[in-house]
This record gives sequence, structure tokens and C-alpha cells, in this order.
Amino acid sequence: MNALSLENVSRSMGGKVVVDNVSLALHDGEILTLIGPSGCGKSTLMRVIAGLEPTDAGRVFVGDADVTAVPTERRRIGFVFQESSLFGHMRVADNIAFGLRHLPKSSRTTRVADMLDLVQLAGLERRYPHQLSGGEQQRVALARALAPQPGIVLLDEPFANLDEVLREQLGHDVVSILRAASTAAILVTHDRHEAMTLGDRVAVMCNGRIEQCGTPEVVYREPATRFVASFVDVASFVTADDGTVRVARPHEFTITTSGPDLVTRIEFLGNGYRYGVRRADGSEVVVDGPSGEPLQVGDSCRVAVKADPLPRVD
Amino acid sequence: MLAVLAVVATACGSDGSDDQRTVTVYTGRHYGIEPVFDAFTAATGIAVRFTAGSDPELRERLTAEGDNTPADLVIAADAANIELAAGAGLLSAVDSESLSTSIPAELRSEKNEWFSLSRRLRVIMFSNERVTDPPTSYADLGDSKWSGRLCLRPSTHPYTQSLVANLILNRGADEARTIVESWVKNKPLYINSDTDILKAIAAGDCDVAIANTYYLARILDEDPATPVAISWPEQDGSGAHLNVSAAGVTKAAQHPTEALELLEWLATDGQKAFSEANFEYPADPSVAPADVLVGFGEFTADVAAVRQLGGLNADAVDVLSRAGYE
Amino acid sequence: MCVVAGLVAAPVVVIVSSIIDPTPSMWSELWQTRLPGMISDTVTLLVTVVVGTLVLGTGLAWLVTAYDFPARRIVGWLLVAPLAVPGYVAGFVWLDTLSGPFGQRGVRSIWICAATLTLTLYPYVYLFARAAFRSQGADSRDAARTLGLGPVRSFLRVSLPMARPALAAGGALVTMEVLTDVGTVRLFNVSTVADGVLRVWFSTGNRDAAAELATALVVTAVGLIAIERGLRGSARYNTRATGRPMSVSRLGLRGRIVALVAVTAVLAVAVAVPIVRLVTWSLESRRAGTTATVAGGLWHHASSTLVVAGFATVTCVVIGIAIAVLARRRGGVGRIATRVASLGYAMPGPVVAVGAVITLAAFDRAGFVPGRFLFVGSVVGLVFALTVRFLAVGLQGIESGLERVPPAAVASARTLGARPARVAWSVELPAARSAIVAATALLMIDLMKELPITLLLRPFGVDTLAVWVWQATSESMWTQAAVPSLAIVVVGMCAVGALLAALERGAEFVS
Repeated sequence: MNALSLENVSRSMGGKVVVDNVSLALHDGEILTLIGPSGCGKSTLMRVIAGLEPTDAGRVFVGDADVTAVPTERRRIGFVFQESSLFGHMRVADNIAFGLRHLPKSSRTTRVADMLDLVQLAGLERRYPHQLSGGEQQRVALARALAPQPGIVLLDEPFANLDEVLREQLGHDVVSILRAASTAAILVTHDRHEAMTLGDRVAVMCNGRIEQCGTPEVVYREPATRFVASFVDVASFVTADDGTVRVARPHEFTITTSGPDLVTRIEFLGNGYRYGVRRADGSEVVVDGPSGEPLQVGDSCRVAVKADPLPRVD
Repeated sequence: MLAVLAVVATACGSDGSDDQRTVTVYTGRHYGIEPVFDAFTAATGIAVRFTAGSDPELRERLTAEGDNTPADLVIAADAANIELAAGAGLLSAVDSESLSTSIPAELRSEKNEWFSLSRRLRVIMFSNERVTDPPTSYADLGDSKWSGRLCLRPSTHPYTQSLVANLILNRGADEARTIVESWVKNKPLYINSDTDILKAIAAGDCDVAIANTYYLARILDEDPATPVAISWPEQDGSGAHLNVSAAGVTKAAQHPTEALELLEWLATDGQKAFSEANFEYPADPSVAPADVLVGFGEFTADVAAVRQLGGLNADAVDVLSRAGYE
Repeated sequence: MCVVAGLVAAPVVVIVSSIIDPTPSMWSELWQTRLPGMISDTVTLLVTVVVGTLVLGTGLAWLVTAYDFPARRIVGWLLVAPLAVPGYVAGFVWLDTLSGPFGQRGVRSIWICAATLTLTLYPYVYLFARAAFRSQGADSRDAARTLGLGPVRSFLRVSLPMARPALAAGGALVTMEVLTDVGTVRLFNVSTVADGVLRVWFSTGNRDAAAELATALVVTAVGLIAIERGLRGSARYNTRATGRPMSVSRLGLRGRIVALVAVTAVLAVAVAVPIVRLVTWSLESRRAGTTATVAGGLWHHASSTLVVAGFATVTCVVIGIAIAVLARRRGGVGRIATRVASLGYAMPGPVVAVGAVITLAAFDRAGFVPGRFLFVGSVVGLVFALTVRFLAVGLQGIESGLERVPPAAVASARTLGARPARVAWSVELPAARSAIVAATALLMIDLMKELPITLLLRPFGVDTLAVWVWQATSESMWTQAAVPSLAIVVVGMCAVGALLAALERGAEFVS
């Protein structure tokens, strides 16, 4: 039994298909990151799962219960939004306790305290949301979502509004909290680094469809489509001898001076240089080179693929 | 919430104690009416509940309420208005000896549905400081020498309409229209208040005007030196335009006996109080009017026209608008 | 929701339904006589007052928000005070005051009428504009300055256009008030279409014809609002408050003097003159012993006013909240229901009064309530009619408050298991709290000044201050009207104070 299953879920808005026949399974305790360019339908998919939008087709299961027709308030799915969704007129403790009406008062207080500990904000019970920083607000939002012990938690780009350093730290913190709570979760992000580092599995979405869903290693090394390949990291496409198209990452090339290829761009990476190169056959590739003596734009060079065999893409 | 309000409202809106006799009045003539009702209650022990408003709105309310109306008696401030109420079937015919003796026949409806309680005349007023040859007929006001010196009340007011209805009755619609047009040509200053019209004469903003006798009486009562005087119009002809405050018992009255008692009292013992409250002439000619009114002198009035003013009201409105009267 | 909206709209429907059986003869006659004049007078008045209130309200709001000068905060509050002065009171005050310099003929002009209305109505625009300017925050104006626009141009090209929805809302309210005014215009011999409705009605007794004209008026009013909304297009005007308030420019000595003079002039004319004259008249009438031509005196009338206005305000707020919250969830149907429930505001008071009488009398005949209870002439009936007329005011304020509730907060509440009722009670309404308080205060002010409906439908023994004013002014006794008028203004000022306090607090809760 999965924590969450989607079967052929579709949703159109304004005549346009936003979620296109998506099927997905989320295992118990798993953290799945959902990634894709803006407008690919990730947020809509999250809202459909939570019941905030209806499905046009397909079914949604939480555990083994079909919740397709069940309204949001009965689905027991936690949700953390990108923008601050805390109730500004309530203190932190009341925010967190909001979903705990079914518990007796004493249990509520204990649970709130536990949640605050979990998100490392113990002592801030009596603060108001506007007295917290952005990072603290999102942690309270997570505590609030987790407090009723939902089956799964959905997080829709929760760190997007925070600065980079904070984002990374918070990302790891959130994952630890979710694991500590043994709650399965889907984390939506447009940041590839986040997606690859935080999730047990990664799902790549494009134009409403899930192009690939697998562990970060698989998605990186064996991308199913050109889109997935380009999306998870810088990708170059080379035609192999047998005529198939293969993916090569910048570090999978060697570059030497003088040859049939031409350097068109150069970027300093810190521990080396990254070159844009136009090959003799006209294709463009991205190649990383050592930090020694760099090539210049306009230099001729020779680029060769290091290892074998490269993964093929369609 | 509505249930609570309903309960509260029932408590507030009920007739009070059922032991005391009450009568409910809708009255368009509200100035100084309360002491009159108090006197009635003192004399008879019947309590009076009344709502004051404007005649046409009260008429609408009566029509809408139908049989459910709490009103027992209606008092209107204008003959046309009371006749319109009768014409709408809102009043009931009353057979009363004392009413027939006190109130002259021309001042009650033919079907005995309403009875005048007080009289007033709408006459020509002029500044006795500046005007030496005041007009003696309504048509005279159209003479070009009064151009720019004339004050009139707008056509929205029933007093104006009744005056024109009187003209139509005596001279026909065409001549009435010509008269009104001649007034309009004199570029009158329209003021929607007789009091302000008289003040305007005193202040010099106009020299002649048409206004009700009781307004001048009120002003003279406060300040006897006000330099405004009456010029009784049509004295060689039909007489000055007469209007009345009148009352009738409603068809759906729940306390018809008390209503009749009030009506009879107003027409007899209450005549002095009712008419003097507003400086009007009593409808009963045997009752002496207030002193200041006596000071206005003798006059002839167009009594015969009163009953017909209601029927001609629509024509009057038509004449006024076609003549361009504001 | 639909039932309540329908109920509230019933009197309007009653009036409008007479259009099914039109009377062409009335129209042709009107057209030949008064109608063209009425239309041109209405248009002139409307345009003048709307422009006047927009200029005055916006200018003052900008002055108070963007510039610093002595007593700025107090002035900012006082500028709202004219709301407490009813149009019909300002009307007779100015009629009397200006009849000296202008003469009786000159004072009865459409321009002075327009000026009077502008002075009593500009606070609507002022309030909306001030809120808009405050919420714009520093960034947009600063950005304009970096792009080379001086203070005047940055105002005209950035701050002002960004405030457009707020100005439109204020302008819409002013439009409704002008189109439905009958008390003030009559004092100045200005015959607008609203006045024409009453003329047709009471002069010819032809209710159907009058109702048709009233319907035309409603359609026009509604149409104007719709056109403005349409012109706005899909531009988005809501910027989240950046948290950084607009920086206030200091004014040099000359600037400060100009500001103070301008503000003092407005306050003197809009507030001080009416109050001074009313006080003078009140003292005069007390001395002459002619204070009351009505029974009960001040306390009785004041308490009646508070009771009636209080009940009606509460009803409007409760129903307004119910409709606004439900309408938000129902999309298209919800929007229609809101509009339908707001129709009463587009009709002149006397028209609503009679529509309500007819509707309530029909209920009485149907005999829903047992015993001797009648809706007509009861407190319930009066409150119903007042709600029909003024619900729109409450709805506007409550809707705008609900709109500022972050949708993520509402969605979160749902994911946490809250059913719709709890979402409304625990999340939406608290977030919209200060808007609701503001709407309540505004309703209270409007209801205290109300006249035609109260006049027609009041129960026995319930005589409000406004009725007292009418009884005096219908006999042109200005001095006797002074005491109740002053009472209305004073109580109104208290309500204005509450309104402002609520608005101040509202600035805090944008989380």
C-alpha cells in the first residue's frame, strides 16, 4: 500500500490541459521531489491532490482509500504553501493547534509543544506571525501541517521566497523533520539542486506530464528524454557511432588545444573552466576543463568523449 | 435573529392596554397637531396614536396595507389629496348629524366620505413698502410689469396644483394655461417654501407672490412689523382660491366609532384648537377665527370649487408642465 | 444565500416589474416637457460632483499621506468629519447662509447645489484614496523618482493611476448618492431624474410610470459602474504592502502654510460653518422656547434613532457577511447574488420605501405570522426596508476586506480539516475584521441620516432625529430643525471616530 497513488489524473483550466494523465505512487515515509519549469502544472497537481481543485479524470488514493470525491477538509493531507499562509490574527501556538480540534485540550498543548520542538522553535508559542522571520514562518507552517499527523504532506515551493543560504539550510532541516515524523511528502521545487539532493525520488514534469520518476541517480544518469536530461543538469547531446543520440555531461568530455572544434564561450567555475564549443559537425556542446591554462574564445580545440558508453536518450 | 426582532416588534407595536380606547390617525397636517390630540384625549379619554407624513406617501401606504391598515382616520392638508384618497376607495361614508350641521355642504364630499376641518386661502401677497398697486387677480400676476419681481411655489407642491385646478374649473384649461404661461414669462423665482417666499418679499428679493394665509399669519404673529400684506384676488368674480385641511374615516378602520368621535370633536369642540394651531380659518363658519386672521379683513372665497379640486388635479399638473412652470 | 438576496431585492423587483407594462404616453409627455431638462440637470450635477469629489478627496488624501505639516494627523481625521452632516442639513444651512451674498434667486443654482453635495460627499473618495496611497508603499514612488519623475509627475503618472480601483470605488459611491438624492436637490430647485420620479409619482398618482422612470435610473447607475469596471480591463492593481510605508516629504515653510490654509479652508466650509450655524440656531430656538414642535424632545428622538440605526446596522452587517462569504465560494452565482442584493442602493429612498411597503403589505396579507402582528409599521418592517436600501454599503466594505485575506491561509485551513463555516469564522472574518468594523461605522452613519424610508415605515412612537428635522424643514422652520440636525451631526461624528479608529487598526493586520 502506498501513502499516495494517482491514477491517470487530468485537469484542464481555461481550455488548456494543465495536468495530463498523471500517474504516480508515493511510498510510505518517502520524500518525492517534483520538479519542472514554470507553468508545467506542478502547483496544480498539488492542489488536485489536496482537493483544492477537482479532477477532470482519474482517481486519487490516500493509502487505499479513494478520496477523489472527498472534500479537502476530510482528506487529511497536510499542505505548506509558498507564500505565508499563517493566520495573522492568531499566535503561533493557536496556529499550530488549528487542526487539532478533535483532541482534548491537554493533548493539544502537548502536541503543539512537540511540534515546536520538532521544528526547533520552542519558546515562540506566544508570538504572532508578523513577529517572525520568513524562515521561522515557514517552519511554523510546517509544524501546523504536521500537527494533525496527516498521511502525507505536500510542500509547494516552500523556500522560494527565502534567500539562498537560508533556503539550503531549511531544505535539509525540513527533510530531517519529515523523516523524524515518518511522514511521506511531495516537495515541489524549481531548483534542480534542491530536487536532486533532498528527495528519495525525483519526478520531472513538463507540460502537464511526468516525464520520468526515479531516484536522483537514475534520473541523472539515465534520463528518459532530452528534456529530463537538460533539466537536471547541463547536457550536451552527441550522436554516437551507431547513430543513437547520447547525453554527455560537461565533465564527461576532454578538451585539448588545436583541433577541428571552436571555443565560443568561457565561464570561470572556481575549480576550473566551462567552455561552450562548436564542434566540426556543427553541434554545440558544453565542456568542463581544468583550471590550468585556459583557452580563449575563438581558439581551436579538440573535444572528445571520455568514457563509454553514454546513456542514450530519445 | 428575525424571530427575536419579531417578538420585540410585536411587543412594541401592539395597542398597549386593551382597556383604553384608542384611535389611530394618519395625518399629512402635522404642524401643531399634537396638543390638539391631547385636548381630545383629555375631553374623551380616547388615546390617539398618529403617524405624520406627506399626504401622497401616506396614501400609498394606506393603499398597500389594504384591510390590514391600523389607520382609523386620515387627515390631509389639501383638498385634492383627501379627494384622491376617497377616489382610491380608502375612505368610508359617514352619517353624522353633528358633522352635517357644523361643516357647510360645499366643504364636505358629496358622498360624505370626508369633511373639511379648517380653511386657508392662497392669495396674492405683496410688499407694502414698494408696491402701491397690487394685483387683484391671479391673471394680473402675468402682467409684464411684474417681470423679475414675482415669487412662486414650484409645481411639485399640491397647493400650486390645487390653485391651478381652481383656475381650470372657472376658466377652462386653455385660459388657465395662458395664465400660467404669463406667469412663467415673468421669470418667477421658485422657492419651495411659503415662509421663505414671504421672507423674500420682506427682504426685497421679490415684490409680489402667491402664498397661503396662515404662513403670513405665523410670521406676523412673531413679528407684527413685517412689511407684507394680502391683496385678495378675484373679489369681483369667483372669489379667492380656497383650500382646506380635511379628514375622513378609513374604510378598513378597526375603531370606527372612536374615529367618528374624533372627527366630530374636531368639527365641533375642537374647531378652535385645530384651526388656531395653524392659524387657519375654522371650517365651521360660526366659530370665530384667531385675531390676526380677523385683521386680514373680509373676503369672498371660491367655496364651490373645493370639492372638485381633486378631480382636476391631473389636468392641473398637465397644464403646469406644458406651460413650462418649474 | 440566494433566498436572502432575493428577499432583499424583492422591493426593487416590485418596482422594476412595472416595466413589463410600460406607459408610453407618460414617456412622450415627459419627453416633451421636463425630461430633457431633468436629464441634463442630472448629468451636469453628476459630472460636477463626481469630478469635484475626486479632485478634492484625492488631493486631500495625497496631501495628508505624502507630506508632513503640523497637525497632520488630526487634520487627517477631521477631514472625514463631513460624513456626519446629512446633505439635507448642509443644504438648508448653505441655502440660508448664501442667500445673503447671492440673493434668493442666485443661491438656488445647480452650482451651489453641486458644491454642497461635493462638500458632504468628498469623504468617501478621501477615505478610499487615503487607504490606497498608504498601501502603495514606498517602492513605486521611489522607482518613479529614480526614473526622473519629479514629485508632481510621479504622483500623476504612478501613484494616481495605481490608486484607480480605490478612486473608482469612492466615485461609485458618490455617483449613487447623487443619482438618488432628492432632499438636497429640491432645496435648490434642481430637478434631477430622481426628483422627476417623485414628481411623476405624487403629482400624477401614476405609480407605474414613476416606477419605470426609477428603473431607468437604476439601470443607468448600474450601467455606469459596469462600464468603469470594464474599462479597467485586466490590469492588476494589488501590490502587496511592502511593509515599508511611503516616505513623507517635509515641506518648506511656504509649503506648510499652503497646506494648512487649504485644509483649514476645506474644514471651515465643510464642517465649521454648518456646525456654527446649527449651534446658533439651536440657541436661538431655545431662547424663543420653540425648540420642539414634536413630542418627546431630544432624548426620545435620539434613542429612537440609535435603536433603529443600531438594529438595521446589525442586520446589514450580518446579512452582508453571510452573503459575502457565501458568494466568494460560489463564483458566478455568488457575484450575481451580491449585485442583486445591492440594487436597493441605486434607487432613491422614497422609491425603496414604497417598494418595501408594497412587499411587506403583501406578506401581511399572506398571513405568515399569526396573531395581530403586521410587518408594515413594525420595527422588523422598517429594518427590512433599510436593509434593502443600505446592504450595498455593508457588502462593499466586507467584500473588500475578504478580498485581502490571503488565499493560502484559507486553503491551509481547509487542509487542516476546517469545514467552510469554521474557515469563515476562524480565518476569513478575523482577517477582514477591521474592514468589517469600518463598514459597520459607515452603515451606522448612513442609517442615522436616513429619512424617506423611516418617515414612511416607522412604527408608532418611533420618531428619529431625521424625522424631526423633516417635520421642521417641511414647514421651512430652519431654527427648529437645528437641534435635531446638530444631534445627528454629533452622533455621526462619534461614528466617524469609530470608523477612523478601525481604519487605523486595519493598517496593522496586513500579514
